[in-house]
Amino acid sequence: MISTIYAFLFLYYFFLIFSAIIISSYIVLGILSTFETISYFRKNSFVSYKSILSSPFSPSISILAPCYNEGKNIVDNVRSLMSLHYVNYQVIIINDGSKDDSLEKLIEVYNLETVKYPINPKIETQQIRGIYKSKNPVFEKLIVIDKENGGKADALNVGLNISNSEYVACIDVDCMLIEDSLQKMVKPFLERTDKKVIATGGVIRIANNCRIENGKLMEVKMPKKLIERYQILEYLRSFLLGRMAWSRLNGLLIISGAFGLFDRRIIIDAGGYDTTTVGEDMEVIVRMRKFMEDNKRKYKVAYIPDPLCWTEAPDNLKTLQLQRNRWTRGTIETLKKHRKLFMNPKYGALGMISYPYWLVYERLAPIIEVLGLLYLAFLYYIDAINWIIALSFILVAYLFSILFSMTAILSEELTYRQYTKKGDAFKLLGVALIEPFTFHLFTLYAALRGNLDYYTKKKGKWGDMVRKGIGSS
Amino acid sequence: MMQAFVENSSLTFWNYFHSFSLLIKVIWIIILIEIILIICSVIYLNLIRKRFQQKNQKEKLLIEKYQEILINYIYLTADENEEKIKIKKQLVKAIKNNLDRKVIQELILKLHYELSGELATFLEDLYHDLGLVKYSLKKLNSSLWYIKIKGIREVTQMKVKNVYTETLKLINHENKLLRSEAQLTMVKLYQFEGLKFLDHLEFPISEWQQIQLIEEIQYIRNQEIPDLTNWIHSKNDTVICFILKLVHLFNQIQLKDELIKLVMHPSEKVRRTTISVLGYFRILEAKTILKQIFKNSTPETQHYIMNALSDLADKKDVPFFEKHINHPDFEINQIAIKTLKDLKPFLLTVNLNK
Amino acid sequence: MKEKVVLAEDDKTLTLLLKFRLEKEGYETFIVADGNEAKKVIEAVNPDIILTDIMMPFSSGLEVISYVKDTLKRDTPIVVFSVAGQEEMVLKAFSLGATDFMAKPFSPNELIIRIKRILIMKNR
Repeated sequence: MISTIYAFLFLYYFFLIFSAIIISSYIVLGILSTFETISYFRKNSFVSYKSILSSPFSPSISILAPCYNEGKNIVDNVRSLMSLHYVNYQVIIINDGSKDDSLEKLIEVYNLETVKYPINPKIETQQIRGIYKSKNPVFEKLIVIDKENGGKADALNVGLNISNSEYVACIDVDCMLIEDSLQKMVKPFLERTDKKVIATGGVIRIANNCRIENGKLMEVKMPKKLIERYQILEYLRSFLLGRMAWSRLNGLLIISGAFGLFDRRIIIDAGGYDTTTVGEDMEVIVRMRKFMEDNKRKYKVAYIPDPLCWTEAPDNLKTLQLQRNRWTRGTIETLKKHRKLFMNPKYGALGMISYPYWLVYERLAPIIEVLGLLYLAFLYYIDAINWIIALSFILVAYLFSILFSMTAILSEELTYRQYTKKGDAFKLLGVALIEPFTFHLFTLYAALRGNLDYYTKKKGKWGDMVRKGIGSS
Repeated sequence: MMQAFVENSSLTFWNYFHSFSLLIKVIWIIILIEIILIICSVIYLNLIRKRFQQKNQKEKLLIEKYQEILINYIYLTADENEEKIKIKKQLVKAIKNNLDRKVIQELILKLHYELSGELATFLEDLYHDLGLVKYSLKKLNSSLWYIKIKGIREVTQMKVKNVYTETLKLINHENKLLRSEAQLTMVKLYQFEGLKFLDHLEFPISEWQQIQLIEEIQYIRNQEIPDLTNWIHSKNDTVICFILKLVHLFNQIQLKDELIKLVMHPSEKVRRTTISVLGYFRILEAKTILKQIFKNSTPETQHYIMNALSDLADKKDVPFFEKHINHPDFEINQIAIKTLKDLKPFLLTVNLNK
Repeated sequence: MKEKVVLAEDDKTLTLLLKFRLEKEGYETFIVADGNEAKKVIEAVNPDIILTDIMMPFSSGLEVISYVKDTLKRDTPIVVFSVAGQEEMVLKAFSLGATDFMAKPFSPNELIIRIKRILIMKNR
């Protein structure tokens, strides 16, 4: 009997302390990021990108864009990728064994012909069927590779083998890059003199309901559907608050698969993308960091908060569930694969802060939350709830989540101000009010499904999955 | 009566509150703080959105007003002197107001940026005449780095040349953006003469900054290129790399003996940059030493050496490249194969001639 | 009859300055601030010469050129404005059929001289 009481007391304090730590770490993240975002924004307003656009010393960049059944938009997407403002870059489209007419369309529109091209076989990949370049010199930046289906990671590895640029930009072919994306993303690499920058991550913004013409973003608009607005708020929090703080602490563990720029030699030396996980975008960063730590080299994973990459977010529950499910499995797989890092002082902040944080707050948080709810239900069942305390706690948490969203909205308003129409900010505020009881519960459900699928189902190759653009957030 | 009621009710509220445990008290204090913060931030949000719109509106009107006045002024002919004086008086008066001055200043700067020739000079003179230089110099002396930057940019664009000492002081400023801007100003205003800042530089110059500086230096015309030898021996590795780029850009091939010495420099970055320049200039004397250091270099430096040697190759180097066609590093064996392909037809023709 | 000029440039002050100058020289000037508007106005007024910036919102100067040459099939002379570092774009502009280019920053006097010369050549 007494031991049961102790167990309850233990659980009680466990949840209390867990929430207290969560809340205080969010306060730290929030303050750090708001400060950092605004200071970046101010500094960046003084940066002139004119020189990098014309200098013969600008480093070379390859854009690697895997494509799977994108026939509908592929021509426009490629055209928009080729019209970025940068001197020294090429666009490598990797057709990952599409079943539709993606390749035929590209061949026809861009006047492609087969060419011989030396391939560095450093990373093992699926068979390459052919390499194409355009006969028209206007499209000399373009290389198209046709290969057997092997998934996104495998397609990117082919791109890594083919590229001989200093940096590679790995992107989703269906996302829209703002014209000055490359010059902004390459800056951190050229700027640091004390550390080696191994990768730069960009922000993903939601393009739903925005006006798009010929693969170019023309006008930013607030989406109409609630499910899309939820995600806008979520992305603002994640990109303007979460990642900004982590990059400040040099503890960033993920760069969105939709847009990241990497040092080619280092990503290859670290082994390229892992084809066995669905979370290859997170896994590759963890591995690159581990590689640098193992070689005792000073490094940094940088992050640029400018709204450079826009993509369509899922607009229905089913796709959204699949996406979140996949993110969850990706996180589990990555953390499991690199569990050696956990609390390993040899890996410095990576092992002692970033990894444990991800384990507890990304990997385990949904599970702990559900346990908490079950615990509450159990207390209710045995009629042991102190309602005043319980409701007060819920109110604290609820108000805190609003406050945190509010910080994200304010950060955006003080810097990039993408949503300028009257009332837009208050639409987001409205979303923040109802989110904890609605969208949050849904993402919780999706994360649990992810856990369930991870432990029960065999790993499906994502190449055949519904692909709706976005990388992990 | 009313007062008594209020007192009474507040009393009961406090009694009620005091009856709770410490935990609940703390929680409710937190809740109160949260509510206050939320309300404050909503008000703040509303405020900044409104202010932004209003400010935009007001500025727009001012911009329209002054751009018309300005353009009108620019096109006044010599015989419309009276009108000229009148407008100038109006502008001088207007710049006493902060917002008006900001708008006028920005208009002149923006227009100047797009124009060259007689109109550019005209605008520079106008900037001086209106007394706007004084405000720019004031910014330069501000204690905030971002205002300093604005000031330094304005004087640079308007070619205010008497800021040499002030600028030189800033090239080692702790704020990276500000010192970068100061370095650019040295080159923009004083051209090759301004490069002397390199002697006093205590910080590394990032690749980014090197690109910015070189873009400015490129456009220097009608000036003799200074002797770069001293800087090649700088203690600052990034300065050496930067100078090597200038050596490349201005074809300072007469420095080749110094360049060959740099191949043994302790900094890998310097060695790599040097190796590329040697290849670019086709300095054949460097071949022996490059082959010597090849084996003990890091893979990345080996790429540089291989590329340079490929540029320098002649038929005597065939054995060297043949040795590397099966090198485990893909990029190295590719260069070896490609170079051999280029060399072999030449060998064939030589043999035929014999 | 006055000769007609379409000026496509997104910097307001510069546009105004040039418009003033062009009208002083006796040209009828039509101002547009973006590429899409440029296409519409060009089609409607059929100008004698087009001045266009290379980088503009919505559709670039290059698209304007190809619209005039390929879609409207007109041989209206086109002068493009560019900034340093857009050499590649300038080459493309020429291959699409641009007549001349001016690198920013430029001198309005020089622009006027070039316009006059181009129009004389055209009317010959």
